Amino acid sequence: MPKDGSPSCTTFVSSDHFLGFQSAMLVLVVRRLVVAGFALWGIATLVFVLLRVLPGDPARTILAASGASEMAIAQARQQMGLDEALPVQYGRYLWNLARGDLGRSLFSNRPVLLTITEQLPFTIELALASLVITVAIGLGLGMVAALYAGSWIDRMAAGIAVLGVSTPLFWSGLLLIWLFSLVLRWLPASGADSWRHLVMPAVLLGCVGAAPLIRLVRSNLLTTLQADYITVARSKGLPETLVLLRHALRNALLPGLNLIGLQAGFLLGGTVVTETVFARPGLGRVVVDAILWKDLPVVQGAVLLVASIYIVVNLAVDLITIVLDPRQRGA
Amino acid sequence: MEPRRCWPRVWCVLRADSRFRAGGCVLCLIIFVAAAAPFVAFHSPTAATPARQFLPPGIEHPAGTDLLGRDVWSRVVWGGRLSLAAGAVAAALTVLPGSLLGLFSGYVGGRVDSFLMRVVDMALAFPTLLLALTIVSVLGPGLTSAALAVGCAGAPRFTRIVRAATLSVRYAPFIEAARTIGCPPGRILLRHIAPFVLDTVIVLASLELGYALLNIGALSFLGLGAQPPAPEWGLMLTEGRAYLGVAPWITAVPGCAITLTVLAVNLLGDALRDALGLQARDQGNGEG
Repeated sequence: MPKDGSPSCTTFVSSDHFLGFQSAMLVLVVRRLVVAGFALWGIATLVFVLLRVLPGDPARTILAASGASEMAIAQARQQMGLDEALPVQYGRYLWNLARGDLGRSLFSNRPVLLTITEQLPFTIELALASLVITVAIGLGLGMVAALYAGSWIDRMAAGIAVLGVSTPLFWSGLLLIWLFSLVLRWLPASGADSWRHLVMPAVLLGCVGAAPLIRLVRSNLLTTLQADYITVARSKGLPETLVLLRHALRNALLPGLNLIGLQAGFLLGGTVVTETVFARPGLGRVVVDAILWKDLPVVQGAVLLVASIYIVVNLAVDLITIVLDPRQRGA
Repeated sequence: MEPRRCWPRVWCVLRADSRFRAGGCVLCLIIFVAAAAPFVAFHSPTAATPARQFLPPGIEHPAGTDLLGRDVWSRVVWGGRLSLAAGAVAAALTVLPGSLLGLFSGYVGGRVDSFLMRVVDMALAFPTLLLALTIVSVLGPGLTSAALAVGCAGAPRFTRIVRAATLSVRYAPFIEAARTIGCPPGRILLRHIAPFVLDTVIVLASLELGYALLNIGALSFLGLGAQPPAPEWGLMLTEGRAYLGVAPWITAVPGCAITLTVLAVNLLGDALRDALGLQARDQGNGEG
């Protein structure tokens, strides 16, 4: 309940119901935006702690492996601004981030932002395509499983779900390549030149991502179908499809929406493995290569970008939920 | 508030559950084979005999040989030790600090709790695998750092859920009563709160082991976990990847090994969850 005296639906319900409703929603949206802003600051800080503070001396970590002299290390330290006090480093780091300056790669000396944004479209393409497949399979199989609960279809869906969460991406990916590229020769095994290159990675990531969604949609729909208002809808003679589509699904899908936001994290992490399996260009490859080469500015930039995408996706999901679910607005 | 568990009854339910029986048998078998590696594997997992390159499965080599003529079956068996141990270490690193922190944070409450939860929120803003990758980039590639990274990356999620479970009993009358009669906080936490949180911890720990095995395999596959010539399952898949057309058995056998292990662990976890009457907790990995 509002403590700060902001107009809410309870106070303005009679005079101007609509306005009260909207401003309550606005407060909620602004609050979510502020939380997302803090989350962005949080990941920036955590990355700073992990990559700059914990290793002790990043310059030494990076250069010692290549057998650089003490003087070269000292010089690199000065170049990277590591000889200054931590708070100063932290302040400069945040300031650079705010300006969109992610530094330069230690190897190619190109701006990190450029390196990342070149590769980003490939990853986004893969993530979006697999998200579509995740939603289609998750909703479809989950609904069918709930409607025919206890039947062989239901049991099959449960089996697919548990197989999906148990099979490592890198193994099922290799199986797909073996079958569709080497044996059947239908699809190319690697690269990202056409839609044919996208089919296997997207289907793979999409199917694995769908596994938890199948379970969630099934259990929610089962609970919803027992609700009183469904009985009412049925008893007034609505056709079963309408009952399902117009009444049951609406409520059953809200938690699913939330899960899709969380699955975005899985998909973003999964692209790293998938891109390696199918030798696709993308952010994931950039991160892995940068870690192997100890190219910390690139690791830092790519990690920050992926985490920011994750936060923005979840922000979007929250905002959509606020729009769709009246209960969220009243709170 | 549910009454305390009657463990013999839980055991009865579990024994009747086919998922528990199947998962348990398979997992026991895998652990047994890995433990008995010197007696089950007839070749060295690392000794290379290039003359025997890419031999298909046969009597001498039940799962064939790889590029360097190493026996794939022996490598998978010995690799089981590495993969299972790394998975167990990572899961322990997630579960132990995660539960203790969650218990502590939920019990103490107040500013300490808010501070801890803000830190946890920061870590939860990362996809788990990405957080693990970031930690590996600090520690450097290797199986130990992969296990450490996967363990640490999972801990925040665990802390959140255990804290939520702690909060659900934190303000119960019997806790209040225990405090009133002068029970010290440590005793309240361990004797009165922990048993209620135990269900959640057991179920989540079993699922966590599955995630850990998958993520460590993934890191090794990416070249950031176990390093050659170690016979680790994820690494074996990378090594066999280039010869998928010539010698599919190099990838097929370790791939099946990981899948079977994780499947068994997940079946056990699902059966446990149902037997303990918990909600499906693996739905998403954010707020608990």
